[in-house]
Amino acid sequence: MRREIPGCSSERVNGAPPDTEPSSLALLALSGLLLLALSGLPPLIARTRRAPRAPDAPPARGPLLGTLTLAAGAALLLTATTLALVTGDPASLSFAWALPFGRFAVAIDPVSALFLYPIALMPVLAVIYGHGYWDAHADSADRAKVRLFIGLLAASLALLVMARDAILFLIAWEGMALASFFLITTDDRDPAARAAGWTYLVATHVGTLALFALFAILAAESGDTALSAATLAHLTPSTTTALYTLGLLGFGLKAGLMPLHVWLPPAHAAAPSHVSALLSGVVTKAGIYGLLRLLLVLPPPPAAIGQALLLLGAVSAILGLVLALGQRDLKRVLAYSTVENIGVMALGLGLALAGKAHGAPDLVALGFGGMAFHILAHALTKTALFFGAGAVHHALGHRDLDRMGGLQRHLPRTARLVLVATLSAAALPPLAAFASELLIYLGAFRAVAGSGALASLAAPVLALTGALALATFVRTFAFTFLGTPREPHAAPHDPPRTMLAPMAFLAALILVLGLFPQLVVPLLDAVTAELAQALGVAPLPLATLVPFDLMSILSASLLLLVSLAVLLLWRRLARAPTVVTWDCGYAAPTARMQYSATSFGASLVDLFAGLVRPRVRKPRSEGLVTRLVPDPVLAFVLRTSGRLDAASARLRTLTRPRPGRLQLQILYILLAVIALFLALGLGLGGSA
Amino acid sequence: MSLTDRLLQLTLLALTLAFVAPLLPGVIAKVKAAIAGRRGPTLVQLHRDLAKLWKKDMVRSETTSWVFSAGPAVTLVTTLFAALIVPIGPGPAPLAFEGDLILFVYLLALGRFFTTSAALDTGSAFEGMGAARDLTFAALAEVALLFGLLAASAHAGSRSLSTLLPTFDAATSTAPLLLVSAAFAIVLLTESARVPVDDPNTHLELTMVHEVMVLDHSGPALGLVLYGAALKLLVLAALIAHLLLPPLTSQLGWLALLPTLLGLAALIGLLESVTARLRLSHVPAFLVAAALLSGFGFLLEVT
Repeated sequence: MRREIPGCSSERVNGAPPDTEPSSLALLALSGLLLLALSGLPPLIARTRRAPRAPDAPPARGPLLGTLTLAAGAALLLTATTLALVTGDPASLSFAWALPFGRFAVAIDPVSALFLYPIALMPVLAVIYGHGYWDAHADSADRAKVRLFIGLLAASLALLVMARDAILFLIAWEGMALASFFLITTDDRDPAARAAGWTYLVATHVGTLALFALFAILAAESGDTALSAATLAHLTPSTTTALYTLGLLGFGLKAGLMPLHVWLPPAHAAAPSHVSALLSGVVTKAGIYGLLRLLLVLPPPPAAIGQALLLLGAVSAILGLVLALGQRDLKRVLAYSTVENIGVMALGLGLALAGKAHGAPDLVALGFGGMAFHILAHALTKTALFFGAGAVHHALGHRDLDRMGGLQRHLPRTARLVLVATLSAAALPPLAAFASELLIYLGAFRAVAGSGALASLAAPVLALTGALALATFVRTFAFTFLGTPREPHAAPHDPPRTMLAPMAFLAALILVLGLFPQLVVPLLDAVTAELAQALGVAPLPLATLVPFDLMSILSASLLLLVSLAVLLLWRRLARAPTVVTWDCGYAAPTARMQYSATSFGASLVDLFAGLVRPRVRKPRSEGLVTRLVPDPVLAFVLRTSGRLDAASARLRTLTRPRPGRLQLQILYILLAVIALFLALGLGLGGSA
Repeated sequence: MSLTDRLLQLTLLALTLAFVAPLLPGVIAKVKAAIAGRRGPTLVQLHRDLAKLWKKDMVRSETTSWVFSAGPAVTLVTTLFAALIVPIGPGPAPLAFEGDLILFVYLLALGRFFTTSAALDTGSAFEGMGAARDLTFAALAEVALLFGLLAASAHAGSRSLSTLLPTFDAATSTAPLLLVSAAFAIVLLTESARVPVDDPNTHLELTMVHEVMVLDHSGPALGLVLYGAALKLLVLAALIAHLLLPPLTSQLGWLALLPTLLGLAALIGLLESVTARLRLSHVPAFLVAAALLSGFGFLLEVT
């Protein structure tokens, strides 16, 4: 039943749902959200009356207060989320607001909860890391700015995943986009950062346009802006397909699905490391969240959407890594690997939709479950890796893999923590990302038995992805931490404890989730059940499909035996006499003779040379051979926009008024009108 | 399977891993020597080498860290785990569960991570080159392996090596089986660094792949590397042997399996005697061919 609410909804065309009794959990979550949003203020205010600080002074009070506010907000949000999950209380809150459209409607369901955990946790870790990061180099103006926008970003992300109204969703989406823009351009004195910021702003607004179209059609079809399945059940298949396609464009741009990823690598490279961690670990996931929300509110998509996701996922996963192998900048490598991981999530999503198309509930469970687990695993892994990249940058002052090496000696603790994250990023057992990819693999193998053989091609795609990820992460780890320094540097050292502690926390979580995936299985089951029900498929608990307990025992014994073997051998080897490395009998090897990261990546990149076109510059006589792997999609966009520019310049000559050619111009107008009528006629005929 | 059968199987498995694995490189070398008209080393040369290396002292490069010792140590442990997942001998493997084939592939990858990292830890240009080649070839070989496993899994409707290898047999799907076996043979040659992908007898660092990555290991560490390589050869050969043999049901299956393994080793020796290694730039095409073979096997199986 709907009724008019006197006073506040008189201008509404449609009857609005009544203001519900506010759930106390929703109030708890919203107060947490408010604290997140406000957490940037104390550092900002404290800055204005700042006295010159002694180098050994206690940490500045403003940032510390801000961190505590953020942590308190995150704690409230996490408590509300967990309670909502455990009690099954939807934590919904809905009231009319002063805007002419929409309502303020929020709720927490399992899909929201899946995203709320990283959204609440990662910003806290990032600002703790930021304490060490900023104390080390930059000035406090940047610091206060980053704090303000991290708080706003966290709050808008939390609002985004809780929003149950299209207008509120778009407001949160735009808040997230703008906060990210200011975070990417933190160092706005750097032209590269400004360029990355503008690229991002254009990309995100192209996506927002698609979302405007999406939600406008939604509102027109349902007569309401509420994001609920009840009002949208009557949509025709063609409308549904159009809406999913718009969603794929809008949300795919944010997630960084190839070929919509062009904004992602420059933005991740330009931002400070802990901001890159947030962008990669949390913000790109908002795109995946958007797709999941569409699945929950729209009728089930046609099979073609699932196939498109499988294809886009395969392209992103494979080409993302090929491009990662071609980069010299450590953070660009990590950024391209994010494209790969988004691809893996799209593969999981595609598998689940293939399961829906073929009526296979096991595929639906493994696809959604694997994707959901991979969202968590990737958030942990990539955040830890970006933190590690920040520590390396902090130690050396650059991020060029070809100039690094041997850092393990100087940054032993960073090296160990980064190794855990690196192994997880290469999806190796017994770490978190292996456990999540295992679910998707199992889904692909189960697809082969049914009629969805096409979807089972995800397995060889994952195998190639896994092997390329192995090469990518052997490369990033070994060329940073192993061997000898390729360039002399002044004794670099481990970063301060505030930077190491968040990394240690993440590494521990990566290990725990890898060894005991059972800990998150209830959450994954809840997410899977919600999504499966939306698709009209019977939900299947993951524990019936995967032998988690046996895997835990095996993983733990693998970890134990491997550590024992390494320890025993190293105890003997550490005492062994040392000699120079055998280099084909060459008696005086120098550090410059080591294999370079560029050459290391080249042998794999060249396998895909037809797709990515590496550019090699060989000087005639003396000098360095340089080898770059430009982004093929970006190159295409630039080339096409150049051509469009030239073409539009040519078209402009047609419209320029010239004496004696008026008839011709009238002819053009006539032709255009005829064409328009024809198009309209065809369009009307088609829909009638 | 009864308890006594299980114990018997585990004992036989332990003996196979300990003694038959080092025998395979011995058989290869013996066949090659025989064809070249030499007498060659004894069949148990590797056993003797391992015993000798175990007693020796080690030296290490001054650039290395603990990661260098992780190369041999992790590879050995992961290959042993893999050997417990692949059914060597009759009956299900000691570790058989839903999805074990994925763990199998990723255990080999974990070993590869540390072998290549250890190579890069020495800071040698040649070892870096070898690591890059190894990872490149492995990327393509892994696709061939996965397509083959997918075909077998489609046939058997199972995701455990212990069930799908015996079920995938010549009687019910001849063509896919032949294609997948051929692809697996190429994977075996690649993973165990054999001609035509890699030449274990070359003395030129510039042309080595696997050999060059372990140049700096000595003494017991080198012993672990050599034994680990032999073990990997055994595991992959067992994978192929199970495809070629009819399902082994009784413990007498060992009597059929062991000669098959030795026969496969002899075949590798024969191949190494009559072919030269491919040019490095042609190896990827060879591996893509393997991926296509098992890919077609997969297509035939599902259509």
